[in-house]
Amino acid sequence: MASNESALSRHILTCAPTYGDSWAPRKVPRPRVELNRVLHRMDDRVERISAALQKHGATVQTVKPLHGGACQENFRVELILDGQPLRLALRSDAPTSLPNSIKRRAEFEVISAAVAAGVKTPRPRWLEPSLLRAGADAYFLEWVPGEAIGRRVVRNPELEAARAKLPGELAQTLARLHTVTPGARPLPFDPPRTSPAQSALDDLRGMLDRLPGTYPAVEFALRWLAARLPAHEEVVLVHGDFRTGNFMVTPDGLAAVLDWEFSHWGSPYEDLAWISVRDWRFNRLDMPIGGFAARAPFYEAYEQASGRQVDLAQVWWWEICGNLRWAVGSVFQGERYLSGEERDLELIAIARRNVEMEFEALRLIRRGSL
Amino acid sequence: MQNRPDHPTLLDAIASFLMADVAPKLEADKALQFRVLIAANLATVVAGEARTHDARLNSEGARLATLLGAAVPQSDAELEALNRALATRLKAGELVNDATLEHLLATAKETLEVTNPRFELD
Repeated sequence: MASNESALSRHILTCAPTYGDSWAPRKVPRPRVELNRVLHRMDDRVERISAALQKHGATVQTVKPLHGGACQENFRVELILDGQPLRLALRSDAPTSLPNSIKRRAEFEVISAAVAAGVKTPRPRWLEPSLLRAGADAYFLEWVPGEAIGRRVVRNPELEAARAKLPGELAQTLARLHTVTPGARPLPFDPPRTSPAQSALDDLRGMLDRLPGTYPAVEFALRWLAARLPAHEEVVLVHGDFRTGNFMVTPDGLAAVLDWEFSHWGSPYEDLAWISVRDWRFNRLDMPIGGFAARAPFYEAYEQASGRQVDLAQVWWWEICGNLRWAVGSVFQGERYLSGEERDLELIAIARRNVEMEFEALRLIRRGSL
Repeated sequence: MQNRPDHPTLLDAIASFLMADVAPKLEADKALQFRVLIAANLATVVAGEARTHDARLNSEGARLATLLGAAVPQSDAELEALNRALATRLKAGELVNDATLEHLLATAKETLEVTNPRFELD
């Protein structure tokens, strides 16, 4: 047991994210005095995970937490099933969640719908109600290897050829995802009662009203967007965080799309535009699609694959909205630190960068077009 | 009151210490090293904001006073009051025009020149 404990404690304090960045920064290691308590909880979690896998007839080999710090919510497991070695990820509901994130149970259904539509994403395997904690659902899913860290996807020399393929592959991915509609495939959340654009603005309004600070730039942009709502919007299944950082890439190209926790019923333009939000280009301002491609090939590929005409004015509207959403979202990250909920220094650093996102939204407004 | 070394100088000293003395020792812990760089950057930003505070207060304040037809603010509190007034009026649909847009862009630029000098402003 002692040797297991020391291996486990090394993991808790040093394990690096291997399943891609999310814009929720990982937690820092807890102070030593809490280590025993964390280890005890961790042993309990490992037991629960192993028991669940055994229930499915698997022989469990390893259970390893992902991400740094408390590592409570995501794991990598290695097992033997039907005589074959298998590696899976496990995603669990966290004790706290970000605004607009869906529960793991809903994620399970969304991903099943996406896979059925032909989207490349790790297949969900088993849904486990109340696995790590009462009321916290979890699911096992396929493990897909590759690189997802944004900075690397955009710059690593080994991924040069992959980057050239990404616009086409991502456009095809979105086209397939956007074939899923509420009528054809019900999911455990409702379509917007108004319109996707109005709903997005209402969301932003709600978020802004919950913040203690004053943000005249955001107020300006919100009114400006409200005065120019897109009309006749389609309502389809939208990934909701379709950006560099959530694309698993190998030298062969796109391996999988990750992180469905912000998926919802919305406008396809929301996904088409989010990939261009300035901060997700990882400083490649010359490459508006994800930091690795120009706009035209991506939009053309999407038109081909989806049969839709891409209206650049709508992309522009949603790109402004996207930058605004990240501006407000970044302030929320800071509030998590200020509330004492999190100790991660990166959160207040991100909160102070809201001006960058506000600037980009205003710049796009002033520019008059993409 | 003590004022030497002044605040920006103290903050720059902290940033310099973190970058030169602490960060290089953390090659084995990249996550922590990254956070040390964040801390150093935060200290540098605060130092820069302290140095440019009065100029920016005057610049933003003068524009807001013109936009809102108010008195030029003389303090952070007065500036904040004008920003709240602007936010309230914008929320009500007033002043959503080019003059406000130019003011907001100018304010963002003045901030970014200090908080992120490498940010491309066009």
